[in-house]
Amino acid sequence: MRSEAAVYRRVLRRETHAARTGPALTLAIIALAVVTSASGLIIWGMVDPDAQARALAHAGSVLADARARVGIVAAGAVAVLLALLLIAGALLPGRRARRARTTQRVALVVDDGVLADAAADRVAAVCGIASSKVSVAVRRRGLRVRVVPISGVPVDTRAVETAAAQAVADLGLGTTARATIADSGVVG
Amino acid sequence: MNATNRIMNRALLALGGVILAAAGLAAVIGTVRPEWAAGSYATVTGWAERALAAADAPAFAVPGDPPVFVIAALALAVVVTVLLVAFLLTRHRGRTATVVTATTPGGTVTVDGSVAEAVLAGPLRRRRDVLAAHLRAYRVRGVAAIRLSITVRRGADLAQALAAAENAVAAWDALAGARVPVLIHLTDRTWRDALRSGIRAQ
Repeated sequence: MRSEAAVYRRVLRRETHAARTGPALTLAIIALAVVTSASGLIIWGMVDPDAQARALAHAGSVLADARARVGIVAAGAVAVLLALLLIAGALLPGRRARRARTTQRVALVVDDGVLADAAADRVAAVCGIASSKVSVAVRRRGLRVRVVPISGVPVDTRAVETAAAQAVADLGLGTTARATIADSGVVG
Repeated sequence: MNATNRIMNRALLALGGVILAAAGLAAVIGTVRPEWAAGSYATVTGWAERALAAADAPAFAVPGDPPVFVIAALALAVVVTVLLVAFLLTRHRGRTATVVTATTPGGTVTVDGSVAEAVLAGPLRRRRDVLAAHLRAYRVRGVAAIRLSITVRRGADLAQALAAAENAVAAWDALAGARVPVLIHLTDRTWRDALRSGIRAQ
C-alpha cells in the first residue's frame, strides 16, 4: 500500500509522457503478419520440391532488371528511414503537451490548449481586443503571445505578458510569457 | 494512467527499428553489391550450420530435406509469433471497476466506479461552464485511483472550475470515508465540442 504522493508521482509521470502503445501495437501486428507469411513461405519451400529452385531463378531474373534494382534500393532506403523513426520513438522521452502539479488533495493535469485559450481570453479582456486577434503558443519555456492591435490604439507589451502569465498562474502552474505586438493593426 | 508496460512498448519499437534498418541495409547492399551479399549470406549460413552442429541438434526427417538452420528459423518464427500475440493481449491493463474497498465487522464493502461518477462528475456536468465530465478508475501502485476528465467551455474561469471540482472531491471524501487519489484532467476541446450547440436546456 503506497503513499498517496508515490501514487501521484507515477500518475503524473505517465500522464505527461506518451505511452507509445499505438505505434507498438501497429508494429506488432505488422510483424505478426510478416513472420506468419515468412513461415508459410518456408514451409511451402520445404513441401514443394522445386519451389526453391524456381524462387531462386525468379529472384535472379528480378535482380537482373535495372528498374527493379532501383526500386529495391529505394525501398531499402525508405526502410532505413522508417527504422530511424522507430528508434527515435523508442528513445525520445515523448513529453506530451500538458502541464501538471499536485495540490493538497488532488493531482492536476491541464492540456496546453486549455491554458492557451485561457491566456488569450485574459489578454483580450485586459487590452480590450477581440480574442480572435490574440494567439498564444504554449512552449516548454513559456507562453508566446502574439497580438494584432486595433489601428491607432497602443498596446502595453508588459500588460499583455502579465495578463497571460497570470491566467496560467491562477491554476498554480507558474510560467513566463513573452508578447509580440504586430506592426500593422486592424480596423476595429 | 493505465498499467500498460511502457518499457515493453519502447523495447518493441527499438527492436523493430533495428531489424528494419538491418533489412533495409541488406536490401540496398544486396542490390548494389551482389557479390558482398552472396559472400555474407554464405558466411552467415556457415556460422549457423557450425553452431547447430556444435549444439548437436537431432536430425529430423523433414520433407524436402532442408538445411538445419531453416528448421531453426521456423522454430524461431513460432516463438516470435507467440511472443507477439502475448504482447498484443497485454496492452491496456489496469482499469478497475471498484473504487473503494473497506472491510467492516459485518463484511466487505466495495464501492463501484459508477457511484464515484454520480458524486463527482454529475454535479460538474450540471455547471454552466462545463461541457463534459467523465470518470474512470485505474489501479495505480496497488491502489485504486480516479481520473476525472473535465472539458471546460471556452472563456470559462479555470480557477472556478477547478474549485468546483475540488469541492466535489471533498463531498466524495465525506461520502466514501476513504481518501482515494484523484487526478483532475482539464482536457482540450475536440472538434466534436466545437460542433456542439451553444445552447443548453436544463
